[in-house]
Amino acid sequence: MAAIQPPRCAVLHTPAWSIAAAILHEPETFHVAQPLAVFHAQRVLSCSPLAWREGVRPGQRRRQAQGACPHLVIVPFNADRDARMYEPLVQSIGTLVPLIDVENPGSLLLATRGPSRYVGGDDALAVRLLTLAREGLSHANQGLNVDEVIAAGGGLGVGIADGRIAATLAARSSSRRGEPVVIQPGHEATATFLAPYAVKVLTAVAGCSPDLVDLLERLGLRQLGDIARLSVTDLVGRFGAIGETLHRLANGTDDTPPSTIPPPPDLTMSRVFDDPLLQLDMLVFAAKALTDELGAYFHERGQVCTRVQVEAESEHGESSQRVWYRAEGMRSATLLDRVRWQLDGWINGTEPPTAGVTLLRVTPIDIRSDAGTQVGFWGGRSEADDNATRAITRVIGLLGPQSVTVASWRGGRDPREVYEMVCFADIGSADSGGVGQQLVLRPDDDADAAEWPGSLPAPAPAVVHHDPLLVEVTDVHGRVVAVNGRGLVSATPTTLLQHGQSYRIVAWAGPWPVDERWWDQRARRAARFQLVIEQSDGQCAYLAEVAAGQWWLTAEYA
Amino acid sequence: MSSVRVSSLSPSLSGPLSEMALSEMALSEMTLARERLLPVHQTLAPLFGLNADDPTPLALTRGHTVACVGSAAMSCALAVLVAPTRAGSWAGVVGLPSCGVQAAADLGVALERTVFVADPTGGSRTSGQQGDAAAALSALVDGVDVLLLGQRVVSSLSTSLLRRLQTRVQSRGGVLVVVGEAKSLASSLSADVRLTATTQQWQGVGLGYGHLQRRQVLLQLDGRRRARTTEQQVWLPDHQGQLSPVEKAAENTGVVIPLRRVG
Repeated sequence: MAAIQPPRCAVLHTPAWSIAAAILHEPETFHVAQPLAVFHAQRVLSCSPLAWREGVRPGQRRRQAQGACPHLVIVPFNADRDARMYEPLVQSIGTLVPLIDVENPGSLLLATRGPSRYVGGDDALAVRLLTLAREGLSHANQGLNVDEVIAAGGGLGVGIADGRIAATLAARSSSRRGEPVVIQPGHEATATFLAPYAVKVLTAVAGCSPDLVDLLERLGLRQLGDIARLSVTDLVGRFGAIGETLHRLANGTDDTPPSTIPPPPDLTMSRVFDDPLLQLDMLVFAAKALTDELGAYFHERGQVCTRVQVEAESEHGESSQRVWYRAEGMRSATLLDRVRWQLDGWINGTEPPTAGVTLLRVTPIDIRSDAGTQVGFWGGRSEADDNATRAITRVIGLLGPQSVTVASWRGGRDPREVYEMVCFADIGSADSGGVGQQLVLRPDDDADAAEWPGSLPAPAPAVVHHDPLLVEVTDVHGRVVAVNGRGLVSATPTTLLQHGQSYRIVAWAGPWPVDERWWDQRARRAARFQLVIEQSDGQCAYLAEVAAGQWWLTAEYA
Repeated sequence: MSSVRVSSLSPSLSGPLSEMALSEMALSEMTLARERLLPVHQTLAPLFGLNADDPTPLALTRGHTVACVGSAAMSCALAVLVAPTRAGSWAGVVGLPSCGVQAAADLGVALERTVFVADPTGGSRTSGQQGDAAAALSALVDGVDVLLLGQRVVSSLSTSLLRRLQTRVQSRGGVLVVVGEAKSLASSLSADVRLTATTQQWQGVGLGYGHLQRRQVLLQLDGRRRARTTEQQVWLPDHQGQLSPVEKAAENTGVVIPLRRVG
């Protein structure tokens, strides 16, 4: 197979940009000398090198992270802040290179052919890019030591190589080493550079599904070199169409993400404003109509947009032009985020337009079919789901994150334990830019909800008392009924006493003993009963429990 | 304010926003009668005067308030949630921390579209709390089709606030379901539909043997603009924890003989 030479690219990468952005944004609150970590949905998203040294790792739960580093300072996740703080850097590089691909705040890509010749070689370009980035940041944030801030964000890496994937990996290793990494042009050099990388990187840099990566690892293909050594025919034979893409990715001969398709030429959404707009809110509102329509277009076809160009033009002819890339694909909400970041950075940045914005244009560049994140049989989220998510997020804003919960199955013997209440705010995906991108937790299927040994047979009680009610159950002689160590009742229960009222027990079943967690402090030893009592308005059934000689009502079959 | 120059997808963007909003309002006025209804559980269909063979009986009028009372009120309220959540509507359960989630799941409530919200009033009637509660409830009404309120929430909201909530539910096209005691509910709000669920008998448990298996419940439905009270005998819950009708002929064949311990 003839190797296609992919375009030579440079990637500028800061691993924990959120940290750097937080320090730049609020220098009084966050300091370089503190161990910092950004949390989203109770998990570490990124952390500063200082926190890393203390044992904090991305993906950890908040409690684990604070356990590893008690004096950890928590930085709230804010994608808008990250984007706004990144803008000066992008603008500064924009003075040298006109069209920049911003993958996300903290990482950008540019084609090096022109700039490299202009500056005098790749090495010179790498140094130049670093200088420009530093200049841009220190110009916008005077009075701060930008180098220290960048170091807290994991360093600023620049990598130049053939193709996007090699360049990205080069930039990642450069940010660790602290010097530019330039891979020589040519197929050989690129393949040699890529070979030792673990296949896991394909998820992060090429948008391959984690399932595929898992499969590759289980097949013993742990490094990109392992894949590159296999023939295309074998890969296609085993994996189908994706096999060919894998081969190209592993060899560094292709940088288009798997299965992208060029969009129809007329899929450009634009909007002209007769009255120029200068306020960000109004512009974003107008942009929402565009991105919603694009989102609906993709949704209908089961596609997502992986690369998009956003342009805005002011009345005086100034313009802001940027390409945004997201390997996981963009839908309406994520698209709108990109537009907002760009407009925010432009209007509130160092060189704002001198007149109102008259034109907004969104052009999809790469589209691929939506493979990974589709939920529900009928394809994706319904309007009702979006409305509900929006409304619930508003309720969370009013009442606090603990107040809205959803049920998640976890199993157990006690009706109180079978479902766990999970905060709705915690189940949003970490990369969600806006509302509506959150995943809704779905309880496991019936197959997983296998019977727990010792659980109560169906039906389940409709009212569960999380604080059991203290009662008394007596026999005909008025003595409290007890259960002995062998699980036998002392007498037939006949009367239930609650709040000074006595009720006749017409039917009862039990005792069903439980002896749980005897190995730790949460040990529970009890005997359970079902009691049916006679009330003025009919029968009433309860789930009762005897523990340490006390009777409790734990649930009611209301 | 704006106009579209290049839009390859649809012409719906053209025209000022105010006009769009106006036409949308006009549209919402003339929605079809069928669209103003939410589905109910198949077993409940005869109560609403519908054919029991209809797989998706549409009987719950959007904007209505349904009060579930009686000794089986909680199960009855959960049974009302089943069909709408299965059909894609969202439900919000407010101020019912003791709601049996497993019972709801067994009945068939789609838990992935059900959110549980803590009592926004905090059980107090102070004005500050009331304001927060009103804002939270009206925000929730915007997003969910069925709002299930516990008695404690209803009694801690002021009457004017409750009426405003009902109006809001009407304008958003949701259904408000309240669960509690008949007397105290009747004093605080007026329900369009009242479902009284009375436990007739529990089956499956004897004196020291067996276990609760199913319960026969008499459901009675009355309400405004309804000529007579309709009633039906149902199993709520039945063996599987679901809602099913009591077949008159099969009543005797379905007797459960539980195991009892001997010796």
